[in-house]
Amino acid sequence: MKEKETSKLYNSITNVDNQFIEKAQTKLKKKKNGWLKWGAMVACLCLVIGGIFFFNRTNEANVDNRLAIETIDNIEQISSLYEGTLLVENLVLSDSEAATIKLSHLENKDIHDTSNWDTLSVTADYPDYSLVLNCSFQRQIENDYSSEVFDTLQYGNVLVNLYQKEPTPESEYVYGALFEYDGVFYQLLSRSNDPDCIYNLLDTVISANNSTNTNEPTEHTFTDILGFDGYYVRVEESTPNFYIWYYYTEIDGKTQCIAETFGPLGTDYDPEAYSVDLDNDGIMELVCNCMYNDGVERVIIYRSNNGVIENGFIKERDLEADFNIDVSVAALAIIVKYDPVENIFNVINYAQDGSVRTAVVNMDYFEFLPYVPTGD
Amino acid sequence: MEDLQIISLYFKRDEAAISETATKYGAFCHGIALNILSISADADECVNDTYLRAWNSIPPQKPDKLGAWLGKVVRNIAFDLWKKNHRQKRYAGIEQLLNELEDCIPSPATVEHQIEEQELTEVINVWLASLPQNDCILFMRRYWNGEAVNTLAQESGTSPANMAKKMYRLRKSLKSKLEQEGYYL
Repeated sequence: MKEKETSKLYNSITNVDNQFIEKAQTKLKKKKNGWLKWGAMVACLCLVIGGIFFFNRTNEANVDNRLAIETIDNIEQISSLYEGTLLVENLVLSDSEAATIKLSHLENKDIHDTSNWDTLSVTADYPDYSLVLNCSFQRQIENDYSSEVFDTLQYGNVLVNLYQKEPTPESEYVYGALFEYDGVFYQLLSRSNDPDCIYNLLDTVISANNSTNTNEPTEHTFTDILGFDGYYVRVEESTPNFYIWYYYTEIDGKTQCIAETFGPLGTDYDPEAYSVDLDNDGIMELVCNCMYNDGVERVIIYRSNNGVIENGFIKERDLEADFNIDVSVAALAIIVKYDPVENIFNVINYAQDGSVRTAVVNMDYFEFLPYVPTGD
Repeated sequence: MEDLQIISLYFKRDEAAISETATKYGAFCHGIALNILSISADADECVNDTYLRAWNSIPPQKPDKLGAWLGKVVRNIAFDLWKKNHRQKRYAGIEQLLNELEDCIPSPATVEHQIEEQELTEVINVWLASLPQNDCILFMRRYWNGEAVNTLAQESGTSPANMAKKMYRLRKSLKSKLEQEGYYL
């Protein structure tokens, strides 16, 4: 951990304006229907990147097919209504200098019914580039580029065709990308002096949701751990290839987290954790071989103690006293791992004097404290 | 009791100031300390130290917002205790939160000026003010209150994984702001 920098950041956050501290004591808005804000009505929509795009139905004489266009405040208002996946959610609009979101839908029809949506358009200006992401819900977006496809990309089962447009005085690279995802047709336009910009944007927009995404919180069930049945969920942390698995069960009608383990990805989905009755009390403990994101390996034991879930960590001072383990070394130089075959805890210590010291211990060398879930 | 009345008790050196503070802000302070330390006994110790710090500081200090002032004090005390016990409670309390904050650190290669804490606070204030209301509340509840992402997800009606993604994007946004301003930590 970059301790000095994070401490500085932590202290600075502590001293923010009181108005934000007071805001922190308020409730969050729940994702619900029915709070789309109605913006100004306009007759037609013009989006310009070296050209003009119109979003009109072909049969404008038919009153029933007339479109209305709303300005939307933020993406959450859209995503709260849309049941499928909208790739616009992967854009970080708070970073942009100017962002506009417009939704076109059948006029005089219920805007909360997404079958009445025609197009969604997000325009955003960033310091080094600008983008437009157009989403068409009813039909493919026409390819109005005069050039041929100059590159084709594959993101899982999403095929992206890239086109190049004429540069502008401000931007050397003007690209368009056409693709379909989850039944929605997309056009991503970028304008930048960086030739990689369009590729980075496609990574941002599509990669977060492609079919190999390990962030999917797929539930896997467990039985008889700490006296409970339930499920565990894997979440990818901000450190690449580092995951946390959370174990959930229902207690008195409420979902509660009863254990967690963490480390790099092992086999498929499952963590390196074992359900075993270590103390022969008839209740299965959960023994987790964990790895911190700095590589340190430790065991965490979860047990139920008179109905209270506790987690146990190795008592390094006892290892020092009983086995001459050198605890003055860095944490990485002491490895603690559970062997499920032998049902023992192995300790390996790379001591300061260059020797390798080992110990085999049992549950008595763990200190237990009430478990408080640390997060998700 | 209103904050002004409580503060006047401090000024009168009336010990009822402490009990009134505890009544109004005890749970709030304990919650913040517990989010940082994850051990109730340690959190109790921090809260008691907070009351002592308040007694010794008021007067001459006269906080505008007593709750926010107490929150800052208990945060600092709890963080100091966490750092002291860090080695033995490796994955308790705010270990994870501090790991997350690493995402906000600008890369030194791209920025020019080392920022001091006070200046950094000002930048964060401006950034927070630029956020949509809900995002601002989310960030503060996670990184100031220290609340778990799971709790925030439940309250928002979203999944823990989606909330984790949201927090990640907010951290990246802060990092981007710092880099744009040309700062490094």
